[in-house]
Amino acid sequence: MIRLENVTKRFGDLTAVNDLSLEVGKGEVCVLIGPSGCGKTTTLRMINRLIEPTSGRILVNGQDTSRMKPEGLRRSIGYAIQSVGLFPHMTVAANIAVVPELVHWETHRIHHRVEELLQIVGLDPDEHGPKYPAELSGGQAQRVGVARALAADPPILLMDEPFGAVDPLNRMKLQGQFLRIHKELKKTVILVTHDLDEAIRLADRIAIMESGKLVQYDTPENILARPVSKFVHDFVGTDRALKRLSRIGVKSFIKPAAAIKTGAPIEEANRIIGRGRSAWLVDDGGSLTGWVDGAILRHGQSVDQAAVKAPSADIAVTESATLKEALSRMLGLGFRSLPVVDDDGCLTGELSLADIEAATSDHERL
Amino acid sequence: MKRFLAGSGLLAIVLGLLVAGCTGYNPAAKGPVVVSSKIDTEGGLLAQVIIQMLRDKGFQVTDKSQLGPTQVVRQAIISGEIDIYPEYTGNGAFFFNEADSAVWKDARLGYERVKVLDRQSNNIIWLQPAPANNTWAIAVPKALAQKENLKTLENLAAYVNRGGNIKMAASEEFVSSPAALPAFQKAYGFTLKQDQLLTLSGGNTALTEKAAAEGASGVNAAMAYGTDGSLAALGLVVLDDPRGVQPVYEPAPIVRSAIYEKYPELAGILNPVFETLTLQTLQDLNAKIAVQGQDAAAVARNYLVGKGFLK
Amino acid sequence: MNLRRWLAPDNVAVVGSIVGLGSFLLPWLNVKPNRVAAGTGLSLPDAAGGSGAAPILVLWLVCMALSFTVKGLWLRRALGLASNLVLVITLVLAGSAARSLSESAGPFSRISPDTGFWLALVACYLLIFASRRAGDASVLWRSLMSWSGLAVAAILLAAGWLNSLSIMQELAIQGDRFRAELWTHIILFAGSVAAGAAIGIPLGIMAERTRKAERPIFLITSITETVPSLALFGLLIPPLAALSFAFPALREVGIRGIGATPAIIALVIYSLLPIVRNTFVGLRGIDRGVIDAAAGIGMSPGQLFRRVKAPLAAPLVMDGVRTASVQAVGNAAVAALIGAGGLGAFIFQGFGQQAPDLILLGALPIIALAVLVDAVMNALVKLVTPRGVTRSAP
Repeated sequence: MIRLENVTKRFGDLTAVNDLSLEVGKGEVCVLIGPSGCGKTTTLRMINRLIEPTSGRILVNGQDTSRMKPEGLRRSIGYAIQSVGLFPHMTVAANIAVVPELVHWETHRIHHRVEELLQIVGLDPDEHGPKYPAELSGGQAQRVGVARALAADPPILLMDEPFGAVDPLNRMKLQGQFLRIHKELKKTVILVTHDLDEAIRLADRIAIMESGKLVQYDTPENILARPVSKFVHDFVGTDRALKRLSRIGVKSFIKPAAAIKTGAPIEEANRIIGRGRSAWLVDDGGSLTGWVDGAILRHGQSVDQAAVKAPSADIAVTESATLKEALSRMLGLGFRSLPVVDDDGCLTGELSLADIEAATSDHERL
Repeated sequence: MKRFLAGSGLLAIVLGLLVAGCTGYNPAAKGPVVVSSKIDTEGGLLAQVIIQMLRDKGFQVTDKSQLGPTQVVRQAIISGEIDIYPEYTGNGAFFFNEADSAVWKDARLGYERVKVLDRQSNNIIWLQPAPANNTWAIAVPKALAQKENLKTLENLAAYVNRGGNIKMAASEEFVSSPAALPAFQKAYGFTLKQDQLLTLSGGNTALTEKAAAEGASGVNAAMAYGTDGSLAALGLVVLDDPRGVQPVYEPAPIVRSAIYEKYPELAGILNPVFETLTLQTLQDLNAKIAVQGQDAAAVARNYLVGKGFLK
Repeated sequence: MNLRRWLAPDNVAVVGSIVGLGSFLLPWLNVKPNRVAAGTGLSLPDAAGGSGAAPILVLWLVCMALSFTVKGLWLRRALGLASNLVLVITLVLAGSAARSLSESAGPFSRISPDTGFWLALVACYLLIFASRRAGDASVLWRSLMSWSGLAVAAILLAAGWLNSLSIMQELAIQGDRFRAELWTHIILFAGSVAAGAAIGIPLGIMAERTRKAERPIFLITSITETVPSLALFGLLIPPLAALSFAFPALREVGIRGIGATPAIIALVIYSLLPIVRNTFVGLRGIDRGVIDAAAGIGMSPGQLFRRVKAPLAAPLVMDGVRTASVQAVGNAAVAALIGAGGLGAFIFQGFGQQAPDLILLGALPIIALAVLVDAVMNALVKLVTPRGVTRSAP
């Protein structure tokens, strides 16, 4: 879909990008990452010709980009940047409508598309459409930026630190949203970031750059398992094993969990818990409310006395969490197993530390 | 983009100049003749006299009176921006750097000299002057004159020399020009010390006369011009100059030779009028404008009608 | 007695009231036997009689009292009304007093406002300003407090109520000349600002766009700004005179060495700096991310300029034009010295004849024009500020 052939960019004496060759397949997410000044942003901006290469070719869908009109090329490529750059004198809806208007969509179609996109990025069209960028929070603005990039339904999306200007919590949320949207829309995405965790979470393939050269271009698993040079090895860090865990979802390792209803008769509770150390406490609706201590229960007291009430937000992880989050929670709580809940807080299963260890060593061996 | 910039710039310049030059251009009448004057009462009066006479005789006249100070008006006529304005014969001494020459003390000799010089150097024709010597003078409040019996500059010299209290308001030019105060002092034998002078940078007799009349800053004498209209109204008297120290300053219309050659009848129109403007007449007319506050054009018109030059 | 609870002095109002009461004691009208002689000052009670002076005194005292308790909407409104009322009554009294005084003082007498009168006007301004400061939700009341006094003043002026005052007498003498010079003044400043904008805005765009152009453009405009206006006017005369002599056709159109031409050229040069500078800053100040995004999503340079840069820079550009305009109204006064005419002519004539009323006849309209132009331009700036953009300080 996108191919860079021996692309070089020189600014006077400085070589920013040095003989870079790279191919990104259709629907793939390619993340460019590297230390400051490695040339990743320059590379990105050469794809939509905001910067012109000194030598080499860039082909989009087999066509040489240097032969197209720059404006035409850019209108067929979505572009989202860190500072977002929403037009402050236009409403959110007008901002999103810019590219469709540039390519002369009819008004009705544009209006429909704006609504659709706002919903995709999780903003209510009636509430946020007429707002001006100054009235948006950082996270909201970033989402509008993505919506604007997607407005004319371009097959390719270029993103330069698109989640960079938000706080870490919102950043995680935005990354999750990105994955969801990508699963639905399947655009070819080239994304620049300096955050390795983000790269690992989002990329199909990661391109690590150093001083203008492409050093390794592979899947995150391969880069973590087999770094090709000392630089890459140091770059990904010595916690490679942990980093890998963020690629694996909780869903792959979830197991059925023993659950005791509040107010259940003590015989039933004993039966469920057996010789186990503990079981999870749920209410009538199945929502997690704490756990039951097995030792206290076996000494013949009521369920209530053996129950330890705790909010599910403190002790559980959601189904969409990664193993890395689960491990972090376990270590924080001192548990060996963790309940997994769905979006409503209902218990759906559990995860054990042993499973996570197995996951880590399994992959190590591959 | 560059073309747009160049085009808009050019358009702007052209627009600006067109706006600047919106004078009415009427090809039917004689002229147009541009009449101007310096910014003062007498200049305005004489300009109006000239304008109304010319218009009555069928000239299309552009009124650019009260144009600016002497330098600006002089430059304007030399470069052809204006065609006629009233100038003083004695000023020839400054224009042609002949301040020491005695010729300027005589009315006729001075006039003939400046007439020749201006024609030779600047192609400017001097018409007949008015018999009014609007020269530099020293004026004192009536009360002081009566008390100390001051009628002439000789009296003043005596008063100063015996230690009388004097403080004179005058322009920078009056104080330093050899033909002015230094000449008075030399001829009559007195000297004003620095603290007996209040020097202003502009040659404004209205200001100096007002200061003397009101006694501002202790001033009790003022530089004045012979035909100033405010003198009587302010209660000031001019001290006589029996030794004839000052150059003669008679106002005359001066014309660019190109215009004069085209319309030689100008002399016949203006000379008879200027002949009637005596010192007393000019003082009265100036007073009407400055003191009574009448419009210069109306004063000029009334005078001309009264004398029969206009219907 | 809980005095503390009521005490809420507004400093500006207090100062205004003090100035107002002070003005009551100072000479109010000056009677001169003729245009050039010194006059005698009359106080308000002497000039307008006890029945005239009493309401004014009462109103000043009311304002003073209100200045100390201006907490609360209705007290503010009362202060605003009272100060407008003082203004109106002062003008009414001035007009009638001048008329009766001039009848008894002689045919060439001149009656002019004296220190007390002017201070009273200053006091009114301070009090109206203070009463308006805290804002008022009702548009009706805002307008009443700001404009009612001035509106009545304008009516009085137009109806000729104030015609016995010396400045109006000067105006009557000047008649058509005043109208002509006023019109000339307006053309001088309006034309030069328009030309300045037409030249300066493209220059500012050029300076922002190319680094090489930036320095020379700013160097030239900054230098010309430091040259005093009269000097600049004078410098332009010889070359223009030479030009008009070499090309007589120019003289037919009216381009000469003196007069409006050098004046307009100089005025245009002066208006360049604020316009060029504000255009530059307006464009430079746009968030780089916005421009990058606009280019990156596919706007052509022309679209980028029209849809993004121009609307976002417009408020600052217009503010530069506003600065240039107000400046030009004042600078145009000097143009009279080189024969360009304009209201400055009255100032210099008045100075030459030592007639202060003539000076005021030139100066007051210039001040009024400047204030008017500033208000109009401010409205224009607001007009071009796009919705969603807060107007930032230049």
